[in-house]
Amino acid sequence: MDASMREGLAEEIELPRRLRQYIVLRWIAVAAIIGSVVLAQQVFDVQVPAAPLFQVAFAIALLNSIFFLWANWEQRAEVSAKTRVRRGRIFAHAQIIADLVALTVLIHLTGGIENPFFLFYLIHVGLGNLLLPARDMVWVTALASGLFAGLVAGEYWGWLPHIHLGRFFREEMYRESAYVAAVLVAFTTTLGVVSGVALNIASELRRRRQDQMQAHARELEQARDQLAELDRMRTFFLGLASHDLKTPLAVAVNFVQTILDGYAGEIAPKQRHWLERTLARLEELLQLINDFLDVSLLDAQRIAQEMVQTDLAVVAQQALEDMDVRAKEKGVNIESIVPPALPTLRGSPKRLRRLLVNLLDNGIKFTPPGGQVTLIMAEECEHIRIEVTDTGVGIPASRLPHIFEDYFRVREREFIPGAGLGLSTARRIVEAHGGKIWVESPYCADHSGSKFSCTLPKVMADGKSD
Amino acid sequence: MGDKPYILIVDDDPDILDGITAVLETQPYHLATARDGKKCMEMIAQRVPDLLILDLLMPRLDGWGVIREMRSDPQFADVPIMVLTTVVEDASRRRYELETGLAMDVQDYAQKPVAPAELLRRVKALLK
Repeated sequence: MDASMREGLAEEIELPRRLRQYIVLRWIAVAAIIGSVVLAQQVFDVQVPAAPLFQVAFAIALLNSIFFLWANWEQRAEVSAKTRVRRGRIFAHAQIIADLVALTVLIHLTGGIENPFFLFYLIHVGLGNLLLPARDMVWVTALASGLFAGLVAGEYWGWLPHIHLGRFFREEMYRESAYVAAVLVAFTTTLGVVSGVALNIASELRRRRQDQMQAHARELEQARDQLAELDRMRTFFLGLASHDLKTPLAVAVNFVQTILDGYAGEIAPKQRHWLERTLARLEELLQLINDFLDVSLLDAQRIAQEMVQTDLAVVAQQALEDMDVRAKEKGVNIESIVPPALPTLRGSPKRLRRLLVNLLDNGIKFTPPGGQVTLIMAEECEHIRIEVTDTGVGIPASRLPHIFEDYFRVREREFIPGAGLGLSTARRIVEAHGGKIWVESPYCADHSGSKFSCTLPKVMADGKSD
Repeated sequence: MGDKPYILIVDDDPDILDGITAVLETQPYHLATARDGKKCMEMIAQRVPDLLILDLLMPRLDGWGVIREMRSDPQFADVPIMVLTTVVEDASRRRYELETGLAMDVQDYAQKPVAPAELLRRVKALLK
């Protein structure tokens, strides 16, 4: 970011806020003017030109109302940052000029050089420094000096009438050349110094804020780069691991299959027996690796790439077929209630199949022989609801909150093959589709068992439905 | 030349080559092997195979590269290809599309390991 951009950024944030603050200050000033007039006349018995003063107060109030409306209009305007800063500066200049002119008129009406309140020019210069960049402060300081010097000179040389406030200043000093000169010199130098100091402080503050923002931005960028790098590394290692892990295993499985199929000659029944058991364990390991990799690569981004219009009825059919053998082996009955006219939804067929398979597999795992696992699908207003119920052993209440966590097993020492990833994978898939998943166990009064329910939105959050 | 179908098997892993050869040898096929994609292209140039069994992850020129080169050459564009790999099909196709902008044009895709009987069945189907 270059210097002007940096300044612009600070201004964009600061300017509107301060301008609004100054509008509030001006209301207070109006009240103070009116209050002082009353105070001067009633309490201090000083003869001030009340009418003109009230007129000036009214004029300031009117201007402030205009500024107020201007500020609101600015806030609602939809413009680029650059335009906003430019317009903010114009607004700031307008306020400063109005304030300085009003102050000059007020000072004139209340004694000119005799009124110590000419010190208020310093306030305006100081406040102006907080509003405007350095280069603008030069002319503001010049304007302030010029207005006051002009007023003093005007009264001194008689172009302007001097209004003397009895009781305020004993003698009329406005014609004393030494006094006038001294005041002007003291005034301008003080003004210059104050302006310079305020300028320094304001710049320093701005610079520090800029540096903070930049440091912050740098940190965020670094964090983002690190995340991207980690993600790259993860994908790379997973790809590597996948090939390097699976290949030797695939070879071993293949060789054993080759022997079992007789391509290496006759084998005795005993040899066949052990070879078959070897094959089963090898295939189990291969499946495990595939599952791990599936889960590791399971994130919303990747799934988003796989999204197409999916017919859930077809996916359900495939999942039921996948589970058919396992259910029969265990002696568990699978039923399904899938309406024929289910609307298609945007999803990943592969992942949704895995979702159903995992839920059904879970049901079968925990249901004893003779039990029942049921898959129900139904269309709702905004979702498609999927339920998998079983008549199995159920889940203890203490374990329910953790059931969808990675590697979680309900009973730790029981040997039920599977890495405890089935339900957490199911959860990830449902969440990647923008849905919700939950479990009730038990879910009916008659028997034990669990009911896993999930809802998949028909239209994804980004509004795509095809 | 002869009537026997000529099958070229390409894989950098010698065990895989042995495994596939042991099974396919039982059939009336003429078999040849190559250990990487470059060798594969050289052998294809010498004699066009009736079927190419192709691994994907190989040195010098990988399987995707072989597919790309073959499909862009009219001489080889019609050679049936069976991909036999550990890489998951989705990821594989996506990578090919990213690299070439075209769909991966292969006639069969199998994930290792493939049981011997299954391999024979699929090869027979592709040779028709």
